[in-house]
Amino acid sequence: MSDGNNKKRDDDISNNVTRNLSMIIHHDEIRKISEVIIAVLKEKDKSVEIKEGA
Amino acid sequence: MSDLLEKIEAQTSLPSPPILISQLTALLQKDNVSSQELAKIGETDQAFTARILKLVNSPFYGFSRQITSVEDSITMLGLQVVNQLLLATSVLESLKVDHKLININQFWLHSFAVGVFAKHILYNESDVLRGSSFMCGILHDIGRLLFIKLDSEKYLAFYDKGDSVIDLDKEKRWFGMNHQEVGSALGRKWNFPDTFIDVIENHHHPEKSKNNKKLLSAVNLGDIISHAMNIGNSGSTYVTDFAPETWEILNISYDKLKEIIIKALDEIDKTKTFLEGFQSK
Repeated sequence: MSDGNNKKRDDDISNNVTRNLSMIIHHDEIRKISEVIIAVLKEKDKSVEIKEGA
Repeated sequence: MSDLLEKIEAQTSLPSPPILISQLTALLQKDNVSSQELAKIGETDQAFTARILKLVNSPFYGFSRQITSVEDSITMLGLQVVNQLLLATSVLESLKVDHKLININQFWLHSFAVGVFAKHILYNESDVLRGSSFMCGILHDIGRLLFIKLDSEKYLAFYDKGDSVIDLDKEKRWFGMNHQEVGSALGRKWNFPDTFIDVIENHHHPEKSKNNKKLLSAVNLGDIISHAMNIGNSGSTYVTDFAPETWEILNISYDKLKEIIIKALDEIDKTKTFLEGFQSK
């Protein structure tokens, strides 16, 4: 995968996880938990979809 | 008594407590369970036997020989995993709903993932508590399935709105009970252990539990992680609420959380094929 594709995939993971938690991400703990989730998904090269309604 | 609770009490189409569930929840409360004891129960359920053999012989596990019995499956997969899967099968088979109203496979995948995350979050706890946490993950949202069974039109009208944090008071005004209350009413009817009922009744607010705060917090966090990753679908477009006390109660570091999520995802990937094909009616 090219660097450009990698960056897009990483951005999609970050954006979609943040969006799925958007209603509760104002909690510091949730923001940090979301960073952990994003790191795992990037490491495992796993994409994530936006939750319906998020 | 609300109309909905009366319906639950009177509704003859509601499943009776499956004998298997009673036997298995009793088994879950014991410290020492033998493979033979569990295999004896599992083998009485043909659908379960077929599923567990399919799972254990799947390429995910890559065992070199063909596994042909429940007892050998227990040896290969571990007693706790097989016990959990047997329990999950019994509940899933008992609560089938119209597939046009909800994608039931996605619903159970979400519940299953919550259970797996909760079990790994409680990595430092006893096997009994970790086993209970898996089952509580599976069961935490059964109230939503009852809404569908008892009043599907109201269910569709309510959960179609979304785009906010789950509001249990609003749900109660709409249905007469919220999904935690209706789920725990079924739990009582089915003689679930008090621990399970507590989780079903308070999973959105672990701080309200008197005796099981840690277990509830693990299920709540598992729910949040599953929503973040969009694993399965809980049957609601609303987002699970978060109480900061949850994180304090669990007292785990963010580094440890990373390890937990990696291990749990691995387990979910390996065993989710077990859930495939639970046909709705």
